[in-house]
Amino acid sequence: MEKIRTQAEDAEKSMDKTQKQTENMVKSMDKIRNLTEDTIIEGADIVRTFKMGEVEVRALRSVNVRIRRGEFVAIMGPSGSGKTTLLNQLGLLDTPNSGKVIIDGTDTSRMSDREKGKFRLHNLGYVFQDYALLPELNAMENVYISLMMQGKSKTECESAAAEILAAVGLGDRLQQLPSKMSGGQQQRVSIARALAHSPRVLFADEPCANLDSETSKEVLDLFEKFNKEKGQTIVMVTHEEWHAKYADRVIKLKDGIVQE
Amino acid sequence: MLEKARFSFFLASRYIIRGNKGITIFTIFVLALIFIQLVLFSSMLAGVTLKFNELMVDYQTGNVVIEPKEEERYIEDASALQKKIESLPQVVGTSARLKTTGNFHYKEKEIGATVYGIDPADEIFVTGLEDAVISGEFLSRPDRGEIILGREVSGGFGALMESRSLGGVEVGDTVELTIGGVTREFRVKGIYTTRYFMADASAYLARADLEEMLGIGGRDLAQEIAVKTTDGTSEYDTRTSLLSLGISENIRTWHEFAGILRLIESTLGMVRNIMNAVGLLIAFVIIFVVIYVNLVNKKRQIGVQKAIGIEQNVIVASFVLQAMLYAGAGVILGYAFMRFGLVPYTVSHPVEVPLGAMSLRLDNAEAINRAVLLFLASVVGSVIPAYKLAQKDLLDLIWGK
Repeated sequence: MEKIRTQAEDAEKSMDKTQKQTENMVKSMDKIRNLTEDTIIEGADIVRTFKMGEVEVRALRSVNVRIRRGEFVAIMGPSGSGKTTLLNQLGLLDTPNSGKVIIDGTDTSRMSDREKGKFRLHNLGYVFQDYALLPELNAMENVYISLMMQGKSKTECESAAAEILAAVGLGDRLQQLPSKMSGGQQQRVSIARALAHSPRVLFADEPCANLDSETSKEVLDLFEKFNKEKGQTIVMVTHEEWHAKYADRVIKLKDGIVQE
Repeated sequence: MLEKARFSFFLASRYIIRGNKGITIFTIFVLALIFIQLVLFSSMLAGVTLKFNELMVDYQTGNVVIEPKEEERYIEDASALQKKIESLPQVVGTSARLKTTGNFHYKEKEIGATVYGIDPADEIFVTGLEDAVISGEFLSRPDRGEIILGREVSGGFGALMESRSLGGVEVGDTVELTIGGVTREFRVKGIYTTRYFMADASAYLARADLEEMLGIGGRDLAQEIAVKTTDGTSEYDTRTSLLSLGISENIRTWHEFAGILRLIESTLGMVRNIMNAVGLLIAFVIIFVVIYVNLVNKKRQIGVQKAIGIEQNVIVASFVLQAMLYAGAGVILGYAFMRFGLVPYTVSHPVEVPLGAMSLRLDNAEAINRAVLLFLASVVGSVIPAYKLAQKDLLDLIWGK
C-alpha cells in the first residue's frame, strides 16, 4: 500500500515537472513568435563579393541580422568592414550574391530591379552622406519628389513636404535651393525627403560625415526624435562612437562578419 | 502613365529653368541656327522658283499659251481668235506670235537663236519686254527691218554666255538673219534683258517681216498666242473659260513650259535635302553632346533618383523632354526670326542675284516639316545617352563610376 502511495506521489511530481517544462516551452515559443512578428528586416546568410580586377573581395560573409520594428540600429566597424555594403543590401540598393533580405514579411530576393524600385519608393527612405539633393529643385520640391512619383496631387505633395520640412526645422526655407543652404540644412532636407512618404525603414549612410559636431548633433537629435516620437525604424552606418550612442543597438562588423 | 509624364516634365522644366543658363541659351541658340539653316535654303529655293516663274510669265509665255491644233503648223485667222479671247473679262491682252529659229551673222560671228515675229502694240499688254530694254528702244507698230535682241544674242551688257553671242552688237548696228535659206539685214533697234537666260537668248522683230521671210505674208497666221490674265486668276480657270469659248486649239498654261525650271528646281531640291541631312546630323550631334555632358555631370543624381525609386524610363523621359524643350525653343526662335525678321527684310530689301531682285519665301508646311525633323533628331540624340546611363547599376551611378 505504502509502495503504491509512493509511486502515485512520484507520478504526480513527474506530471508537475512535465507541466512546468511545457509551460516554459510555450513561454519560449511565445517569446520567439513575438520576436519574429516584431522583426521588420531580416537578413539571412547574406554574402556579397566584389570583383576588383582579378581579385575577388568578400565584403560580407554570411551575415545574419534581424532588426525590430521601431528600432534605431547603428552599424559600426572599421573601414572596409562592409558597413555600407550591408546597408545597401538591407536597403535594396544592391543585390547579395546569396542569402535573403526579408522586409516586413516580404522576401525581396526574388524581386526584379523594377519591383525593387517600386518597393523602395513606397517603403524605404534614404539619407546619404553628401545629402544628394537635386540642385535644380528647391527644398520643397526635393522633399516631395517621391510623393509625386507615387502619383500624389501637387497639393498633397506640397502640404506633406511643408509639414515634414517644418518638423525638421526648415519651415521657413521651403523655396530655397540647395546651393543657398548650409550642409546641416541640406542634410535636414535630405532627412525630410527620406521621411516624406512615411517609409517603414529609414537608411542613413554616415549622415554626419560631412558635418561638424554641433550640426551632427542636430541631425542625430532629429533621428532620435522621429525614432522615439513616431516609432520610425532607423538603420544608420557610422564610425563615430558618440553617434552610435543614439542607437538602441549596435551591429558591429569586422571583415564582413557580424561581431555582435 | 500621365503621372509619370507629369513627373518627367517637372524634372525637365526644372533642369532648364534652374540649370546652367549659359548651356541652355547656347543650346537653344545653336538649335535656332540649325532650324534657320534648315528652312533658309528651302526659302531661297522657293524664292528663286517664284522669281523664275514670274520671269517666265512676265517675259515669255504670259499666263496661258494657245498653240496650233495637233498636226497643224499654224493657228489660222489669228486676229479673230485674239478678239475672241480678249472678250473674256480676266484677259488683259493677247499677242499672236510667229516663232522660229534663225541664224544671226555679225562680223565674223554666227549664232542660232529663237526669233519671234510680234505685233509690238499687242506684245506690250502681255509681256514686260518693253521695260526690259536696256539700250535703244522697243519696237513700234510701223517698224520694219528693225529688230531687238536679247543680251545673250547681242553680247555685252553682262550676258552670261558671252562667248556664244554675237560679241557686242550695239544699237544701230546691222545684223544678218537667215531663216529657211532667206537672208535679210536688220537694224538693231534695241537690246533687252529680262535676266532670265532663256528669254534673253531670243530676238523680236515685226510679225510682218517674219511672215515675209517665212513666205506666209498676209495670211494672218500665228504659231502661238500668248494670253495675259489679271493678277490672281487661276490659269486652269482661264483654260476652262477658253475651252468654253469653243477654242479647239491646244491650250497650255505656263506651268507646262516650265520643264527646265522643274529640272533646276529638283536639282536644287537635292542640294537642299543634302544640306538638310547635314543640318540634322549637326543637330543630332549637338543634342547628343549637350545631353551627354549634362548626364555625366548628373550621374550621381540619377543614381540617387533610382535609389529613391524613380523609374528608369521616367528619368530617361525627363532628359528627352529637356532636349525636346530645347528643340521647341530653338524652332520657335528660329521661326520667329525667319517669319518676322529675315523674310520681311528681304521682301522690303530684295537681294540682287543674277536673276534679278529676289526675296525669301517661307513656306509653313516646309517649316513644320523641318521642325518635326529637328524634334526627331533631338529625341534620338537624347534617348541614346540617357538610356545608356540610366540603365547602369544604381550604385555605380551613385559612386560616379
